[in-house]
Amino acid sequence: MSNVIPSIRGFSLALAITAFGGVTTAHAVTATGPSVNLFNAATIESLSNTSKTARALESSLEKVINQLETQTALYESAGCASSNDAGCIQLRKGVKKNYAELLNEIQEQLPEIKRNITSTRDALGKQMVSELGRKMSPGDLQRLLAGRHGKLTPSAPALGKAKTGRLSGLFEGYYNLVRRGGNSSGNSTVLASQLYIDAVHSANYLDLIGAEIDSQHTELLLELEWGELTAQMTGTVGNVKQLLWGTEDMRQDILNVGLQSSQPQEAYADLYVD
Amino acid sequence: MKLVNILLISMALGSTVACSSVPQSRSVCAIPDARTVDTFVTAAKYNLDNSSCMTSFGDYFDRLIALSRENPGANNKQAFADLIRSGITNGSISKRDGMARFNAYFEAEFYSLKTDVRSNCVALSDRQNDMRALDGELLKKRIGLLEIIGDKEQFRKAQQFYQELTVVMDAVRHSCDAALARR
Repeated sequence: MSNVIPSIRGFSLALAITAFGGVTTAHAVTATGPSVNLFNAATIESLSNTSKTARALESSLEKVINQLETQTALYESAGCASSNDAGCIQLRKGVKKNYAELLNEIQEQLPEIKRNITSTRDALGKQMVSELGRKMSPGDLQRLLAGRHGKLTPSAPALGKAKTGRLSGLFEGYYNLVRRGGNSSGNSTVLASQLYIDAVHSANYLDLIGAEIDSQHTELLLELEWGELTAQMTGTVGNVKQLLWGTEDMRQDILNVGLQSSQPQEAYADLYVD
Repeated sequence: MKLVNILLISMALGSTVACSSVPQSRSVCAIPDARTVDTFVTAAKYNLDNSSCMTSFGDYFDRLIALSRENPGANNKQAFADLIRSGITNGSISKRDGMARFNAYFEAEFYSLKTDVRSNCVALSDRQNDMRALDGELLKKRIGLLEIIGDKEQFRKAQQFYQELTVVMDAVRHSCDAALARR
């Protein structure tokens, strides 16, 4: 399950950057920082598509998952596990039907999300190789993160605590972060790097979810005993919920980067290396 | 006979001088037995002015680290700068070595990255090596920034650089590998 978190962050970042692509674009460079262009038009378009498909999946699954959880809770609280009461049988059928619907929905939308994430990963990867991999040395990377080029510069203001929450609620939090501090080259470099790594993990994780769902053929679900069904549902629904809504917000860690000031070191200028 | 006597006396004198010169040099270059950072640096700099003590710089530097860890304070940074400058001036260490030592201990940024001029796709191909260098330097920064001068803010900054660099370097390395694999 630990693989889920990068996926969530990948989606979150995708959404955030897409929404405010113009602001996060690394064309916007601090006065003293070197210029890098990590979020080009192709990357932003990919992010935009990822954002749309993630949002569509989120809204289409939300209702089904809520229904499923309500039905399951009712089934458990009514003691239906050990009863063949007509109401319980009806309830069990309803759960199976909803679960099958959930699987179908995911199965239908997963390939498009996977395609978009892969496309985002590749577009961003291409820019990273071109801008950071081939044009820069490790020392240049460090200078970029420090937000300076040739000399020490004053700091940007420290970022505040970001809001946590569901995927669709992340927009505002990201907007504030980006507006206040996310437009420096060092910042967008870390952001792009984290997004790239998350896209790699997300693509891998989506493969796993896809394989898990493929193995749960809906026709077989109808034959499952309640215990087997709930075990499968708990795993799948849990994975999907984490993928879409998450449990942890790490944006602050990602964005609160390279913003501290460098202390003037004139007294030791002869011993320091830029 | 006289010639033999002269030779014997010369040899005896020569060996006496030789014997006395070795311990004399050792004691001149011995690590100063000072209890405070300032007096230690003064004594070490005095020793380093003696050309026969040039090779002792490393010992002095290590002793200064130990002594300043026992006596932490912001002024220790100046003491290290003084010792290193003295070492550079009298030729005990190169300027590059002096800067490497000072930056590794007292600068939030990582010196080990600054000296690599290769492109990242080439330079970052060996993750284990990169991480070993960063880990080793972060340890020195903990000693220098945190334990010797007590500058928590700068050490936190070093930690943050470490985290950011790890993320960015991993991403760049992965993207370079992926590009290579696609060829």
